[in-house]
Order: sequence, then structure tokens, then C-alpha cells
Amino acid sequence: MVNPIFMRVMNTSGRQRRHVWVRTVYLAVILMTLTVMMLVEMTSYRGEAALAQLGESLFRTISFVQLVLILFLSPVYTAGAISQERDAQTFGVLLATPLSNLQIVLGSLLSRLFFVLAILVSTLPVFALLYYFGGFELTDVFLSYGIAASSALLTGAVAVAVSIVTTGTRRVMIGFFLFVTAYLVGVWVLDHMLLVAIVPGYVEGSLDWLHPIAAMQRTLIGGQVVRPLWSELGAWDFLVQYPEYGYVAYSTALSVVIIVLGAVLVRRLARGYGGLARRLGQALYAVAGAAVAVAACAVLIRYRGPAQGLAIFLLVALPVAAGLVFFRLKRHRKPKTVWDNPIAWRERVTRTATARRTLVQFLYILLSVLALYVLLVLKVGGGSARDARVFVLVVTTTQMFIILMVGATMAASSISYEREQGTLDMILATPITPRYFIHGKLFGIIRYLGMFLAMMLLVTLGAYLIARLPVEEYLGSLVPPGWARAVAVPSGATGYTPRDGAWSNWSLRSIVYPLVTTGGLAAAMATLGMTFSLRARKTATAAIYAALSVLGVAATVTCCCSITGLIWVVGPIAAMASPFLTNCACFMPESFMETFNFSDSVQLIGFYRYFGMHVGVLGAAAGYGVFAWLRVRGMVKTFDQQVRQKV
Amino acid sequence: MIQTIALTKRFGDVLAVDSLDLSVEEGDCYGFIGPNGAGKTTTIRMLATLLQPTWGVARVCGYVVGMHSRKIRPLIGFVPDYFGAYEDMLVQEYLEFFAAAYGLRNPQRRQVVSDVLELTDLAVKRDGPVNGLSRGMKQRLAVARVLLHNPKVLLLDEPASGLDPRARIEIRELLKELKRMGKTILISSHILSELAELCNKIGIIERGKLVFQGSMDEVMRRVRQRTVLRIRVAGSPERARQLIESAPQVTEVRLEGGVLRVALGGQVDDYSALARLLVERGCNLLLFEEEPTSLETAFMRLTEGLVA
Repeated sequence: MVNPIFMRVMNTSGRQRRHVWVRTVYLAVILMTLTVMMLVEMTSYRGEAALAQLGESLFRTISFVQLVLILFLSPVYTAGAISQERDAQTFGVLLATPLSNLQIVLGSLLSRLFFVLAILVSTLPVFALLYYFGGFELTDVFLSYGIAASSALLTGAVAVAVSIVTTGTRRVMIGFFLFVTAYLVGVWVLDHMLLVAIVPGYVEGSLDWLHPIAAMQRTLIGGQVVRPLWSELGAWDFLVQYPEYGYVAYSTALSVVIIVLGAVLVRRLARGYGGLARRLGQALYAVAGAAVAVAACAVLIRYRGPAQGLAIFLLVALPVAAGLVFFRLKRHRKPKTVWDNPIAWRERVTRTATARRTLVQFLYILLSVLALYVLLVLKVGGGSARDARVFVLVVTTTQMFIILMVGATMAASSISYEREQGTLDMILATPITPRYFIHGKLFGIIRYLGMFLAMMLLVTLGAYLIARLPVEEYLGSLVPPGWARAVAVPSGATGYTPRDGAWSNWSLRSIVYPLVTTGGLAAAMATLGMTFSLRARKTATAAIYAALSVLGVAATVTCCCSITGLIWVVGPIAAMASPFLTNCACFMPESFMETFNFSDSVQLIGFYRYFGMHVGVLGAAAGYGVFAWLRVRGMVKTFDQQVRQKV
Repeated sequence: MIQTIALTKRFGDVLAVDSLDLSVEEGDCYGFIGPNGAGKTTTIRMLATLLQPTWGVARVCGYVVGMHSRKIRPLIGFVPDYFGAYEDMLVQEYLEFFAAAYGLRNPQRRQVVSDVLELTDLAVKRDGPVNGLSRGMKQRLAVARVLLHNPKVLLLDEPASGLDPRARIEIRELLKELKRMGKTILISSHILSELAELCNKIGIIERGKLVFQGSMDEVMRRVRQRTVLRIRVAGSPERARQLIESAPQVTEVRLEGGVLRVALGGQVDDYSALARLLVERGCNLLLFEEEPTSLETAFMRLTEGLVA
């Protein structure tokens, strides 16, 4: 008999608009990548051998794009496996049927996995076309698909397991995106930084078999590297030398273990072992936290010695511990005074007062302060100004990305979440007008983002002061001498003056301009997120659209601005529309001007510095502001039609 | 206070409310009953300005829904058929939030919140999280919420649904208190016995149409097809039974647990002759009353169980 859960999901989910969109986006990205690559690379290849080279190049790129897309799109399909049943309160009914545990778990998993595998198969014609070009073997195609499919299987298995112990599809989905990112980054850091530092004689890349992208990379370059024969290798050496096979075997085996565990626990947990699941989750968090702490402590002690290493560890760990205690205390808070605009108050105060958001804010502040300390170490130790500039660029760009993401996703959940919770009706039955409602929501979100922007200002202002003031005289004692020595520019490099290599010309505009464009774009993204929230019935849908929009808009704006930046005179001004390029122009002005080909003309530099940049930044902020204003106007105008029809 | 004329709401092909003519006077407690899917919630949501009627007119406090919705909202208190909870708020914050939404400023806002917390017996839960309240308490909190701005009209959609008996009694007592305060209440419920105790007017809706509207007495009269008396006498009931059976209006006599249930043919308003007969023939009457027709009976007789 066909699994009824499988059949139900197959019959209903395939027609969902979200899934159609995901499939469309997936194929569009693949085809766009293929088209752009072919247009760019075809001109440089001539002859049959060249066609094979082109085929190989395209195969590599498409394989990578496909894997990354599968890793991040799988959660959209699989994350809600069981939590959706819980949300719809059909899970209990399902458990009361004669279906076995394994049928429930496998039905939930395979039905969702089917859609992932279907979109994976949809790219087969692309690979068939590329195979005609040559340059790669059929085995490479199988391995590429094997890695992608086993990644999807592992993602699905973990999704089902998480779904069994957690409620709330949105929470599962967001948690899952974070999990995939943390896993990919975590394994890479473990392999390339931690184990290299801790284990003597450790060879980087030995854990590639745990990392899908690294394993894929090894598959694609496998033909170019001579590797020992399988038969000559032991189990560990095989995993290290042939990580692509290792990854497929490891992820499949882990998936099976997770599925079996899920099948064993699914009814037990539902039978009132919710407390046990919660405690299990807390224990896992505690173990993971402890592992990170021990690893960090070990690295610090190895590099800095026991006394200094421990001191640094405590310097970071104590504020984190204090934050966790504060985070616990937040759960038992006193009532707060409601503002005269209750909508803004709700958005700013209570929604953000949850323990999780408090912790995020705390970590964000901590990391910003730590970034400034790192900069101080660089300055006091006589480090390279260029390194400092690159560091600040990375920090502010990360902050920018966080601000855009937080703003857009928070706005995306602002109205749809009220709808899901059933509170929207009650608000709409009060005298609150659409204008008041929309403005209140936005005001609350902007107030919340204010803290994030303030931290960005702290970093840019702090960086300026550290660069321009003789801080080594006043604050030199805060930096241990050993650290200062470690970052000092080697004496042999004194004759070399790289671009952006001076501390003294750290620009004043770098304090404010990153904030202006980021703030402008954040306002635009927040209004866009709120538009999704107005239209979407479910918060998860709105949040996914908002997150994808941030990624899409950030990438598109940066690409377009990079291209238009090459236009004579006006290009670099237009480039300021991208917060990333604004950051580049502020922190690495010489590199920026050279990239856009006007570093040789003193007049152009002068024009740009004293006029163009101001116009570009203010124009971009104004443009984003106008976009946000128009969106708000549109939302206020159509509020009644859109919201009152849906409530 | 509330009046609808040919009020109609259509969702695509589904006619949820069909030419509804409703009339609720000031101070009335109007029980709005009907089977599931009959159109009660849609009607209440239209009166609460949450839905735009497709056709017809709905007036609340003299203002037309859709045309003067902003003027209506401060005058009504709407409790939906579910409890919309702000998970992250405390009880006092929850009430202050809605008080602010109704334009109340501090210190008046704080005073009003304290007053409604007292009225609804929730003062002890002031600092507790909304999510930590029991279902009954949440429902009382929902009622507290709609009292903050002292509305003239209360629109309550299934306020006692899913509550245990104690919570139901508490809500009923609270609503009685509100009725005493002179509020106009439109309440839909499935627990008909409670509506019978609370309401002075009833409207029965089926498939979007109003099948009956009137006072409680009227509804009972309408559904009462025969009069049933409950009679108990001292000593053996057999003699009394024989006497009753010989009376001309009596169609059926049954003995149930020492009480005689006597059915009279048609609607008989004067049955004193029967009492006189029993007394004259030496029966000592312990009980002689007309068996009340329940709202459940009326509901079952007037509706066919059809949905829109």
C-alpha cells in the first residue's frame, strides 16, 4: 500500500504557490548562470579542445550553484515536515491511526524530499548539453548529483528530526537556515583553523568529507590531482583522499541513523515527553556551547600561553555568561509602560524583549565592541593600516547585512504574525487607522534597528578615533605586549607602501556615510518586507520572500553599481547606491578610485571627494527614502482591501 | 442600536449571509443562535467593521458600516470566537496596549486598566504573562479588553465556547453584570440554556437567513405546539391519573418518577379547571406547573440543521 502521508503531501503541496516559485527561481538561477557564463567565456575559447575546456568550466560552476541552491532550498520543502502537521493539529490524529512510526517518518520525509529531488532532476538536460561539450566524465556527473542528493537527504532527515521535537514551522525553517549555515561554516573553521591549531601535524582539508562544498570541490578537481589507489588506503586515508565518496557515504549513513532515531522517538515524544525533548534540546545547546568554549580556550592557550590565553578567554566568556544570565532574568520581567502609540511600542518593546532577541542584541553589541578592540590592538601594535581598513570593511559590511536581514524579516513577520496569532482582528476593531498602524509598525522596527545602527556608528566612529588619535599613548596599556608584537608590520616591509596604507588619512566621512546608505536601504527593505507581510497569509512565506529579497537586492544593487561605476565621472557617484561600495569608498578610498579608473586624475579625485561622493551617498539615501515612502503610501492606501479581505 | 437591512455577504459562490434584517434596541441582550456555518460569525464581523457587506446596510449606533466605520469602532467592543494572544505580553501590558489603541492616555489609562482588572477578577494576574492564563481567565481578559473604552455595544462571538462549567458560570455572571450596566449586547453562543437565562431577545439564523427574531416569550410561544403540565400529589398518583385522564383537554398522561406529565391538546392557556377538578376530588396538590419549553427545543424546531 502506498504511504498515505506521502500521497497527501504529493497531492496537495505540489500545487502550492511557494513551491512553484521555488522551482522557478531554482531553474532561473541555473539558466541565468549558464547563459552569463557562456556569453562571457565563449569568446575566449576556440576549437574542440577549447569547447571541452568550456564544458568543464560550465560543469564546475553549475555543479556548485546547484549544490548551494539545494542546501538552502531544501529547508523550504523539508523543514515543515512534521511541524506543519502539529500546526494544523493533525499530528495527534495521525498518531492515533495504525500507521507505524517508520511509515509516519518516512512518509513525511520522502514526500518532501520528492520535490527536492524533482528540482534536482530538472537540471539533467543542462548537464546533458554540457556533456556534449566534453571536458568531464559521466562519473563526475554522478558524483555531483550524488553529493547534491545526499545533502538533500541529510537536510530532510535533520528537518524531520527537528520537526519532531519542535513546534512552529516558521521557527523550524529559520532555525534550519541558521543550522545549515552554521554547519558549513563550523566544519570549515574546525578543519582549517581549530584542528590545524590544536593537533600537531594536522593536514588542512582532512575533514572535507564532512563538508558538501569542499567534497564537491575535490570531485571537480579530482581529475587534475594524482591520488593513491583505493585499494592502497585505509578507511581514514580513503575519507581524506576521496572525500566525495566519503561525504556521500557519511551523509547517507547519518541520515539513516537520524530517520531510525526519529521513528523510535516520534510517538514517545508525542506521548507527553515534551519536557524531555526540551531538556534534550537544552542539553544539546549546553554541550555545543561547552564544546565551542573548550575549543576556543584550547586555541587561545596554544597560541598565547596558559596565563594570557586564559585571560583572553575569560575576557570574552564572562560577558557572554553575564548575557546569558541577563537573558534568563528577562523571562521574568515587570510590566512595561505602554507608549501612546501602542503599535510601535509592541513592535519595539515586547516583540524584541523575547529572550532570543535579547541574546542576539547582546551578542551583536559584544562583537562590535570586540571589533573595536581588535582595531586598537592593530594600532597599538603598529599593524598595517590596510589590514585595519579591510577589517573595518568586513565588520561594517557584516553589520550592514545583519541590519538589512533583521529589518526585512522583522517587517515581514509584523502583520502576518498578528494574523496567525489572531490579534489582527482585535486591532482592526479598534479606532486605529491604516496610516497609524503602518507608521506604528515601521516606527517600532526602525527604533529596534536604531540599536544596530548605533553599533555601526560606534564601530565607524571608534575606527576613526583610533586611526586619527595617538591612542597608543592613552590606551596602549590595554593591549598585552605579546599581541602588539604579533600584529606589528615586519621591519623588512618598511619600504613598501600599499594602497590605503596610511592611518593618518582615515576619512571623516567614513563615520557617517556607511550609516546613511545602510539606513536608507534598510528602510526600503523594511517596507518591502512589510509589503510581503501584508500579502502573505503565513509568516514563514513572508520571511522567506523578505530574506531572498535582501539577498537579491543586495547582490543586484552591488553588481549594477559595480558595472555603472565604470562610467566616466558619474559612475562612481552612482556606485554609492550600494552600501557595500559606499563602505569600500569610505574605508579603502584609494583602492576604490583605482578600481573605477580615476585615481590618476587629480581633478577627478578632487571632484569625487569634495562633491561626487556626497551627492552619491545623499542621492542614494534619498532614493531609498523615496522608495520607502512610496511603499508606505501604497500600503496605507491598499490596507483595507488587502488586510480586511484576509482577516 | 444595531440594525441591518437586507444585509448580505457573499464569498465567491458561497452566500454566507442572505438578506438579514436584524434589530437590537438599546439595552437589549440579543442572543444570536444558529447551526455551525449559518453565518453568525460573518454577521458579527460585519458589524465589527472587519468585513465589508456585499449588499445591504448595517447600522451600529446610527452609523453605517463601511461608510462610518471609524466612528463605529470606538463605540463597540468586539470579542472574536478565539482568543488572540500576544505571547510576549503581560496581562497589564495587554490591557494597556488596547487602552492606548482606544486613545486613552496615562494616568487615566492605568486607572481604567486597574478598574477592569478588578471588575473581571483578574487583578491578581496583573503581572503574569497572558499565555500563562487558563482558558477561562483568557476569556475574562478578552471581556476586560472590550470594556476599557466603555463601549455602548458589545459584540461577543461564542464567548463561552470551550470553557469548563466554572469558567462558563463566571463569564455568564460577568455578562449579567454588563447587562445590568446598560450595555447593548449581541452574543452568539451554542450553549442555549445560558442564552435563555441571559438574553431578552433571540435571533435564529440558518443558511445565512434569519428564520426567527423576537423576545424569549415570543419564541417559546411560537414553538410550543402543546402544553405540558407537571403535577405531583400527596399519596398515590394513580387516583389523580384516572381523574386527569377523564378530563376533556387531556391527550396523554405519563408517570415519571412520581410526577405526572400531562399533555393537553393544542396551546391551552387556561388549565385552572384541571387543578380545580383535582382539588375538589380530594387530591392534595404538591406541584402544578407548566413545563417550560427550552431554547434547545425551540432551536431544534425552528431550524433544519442546514448550513450556507
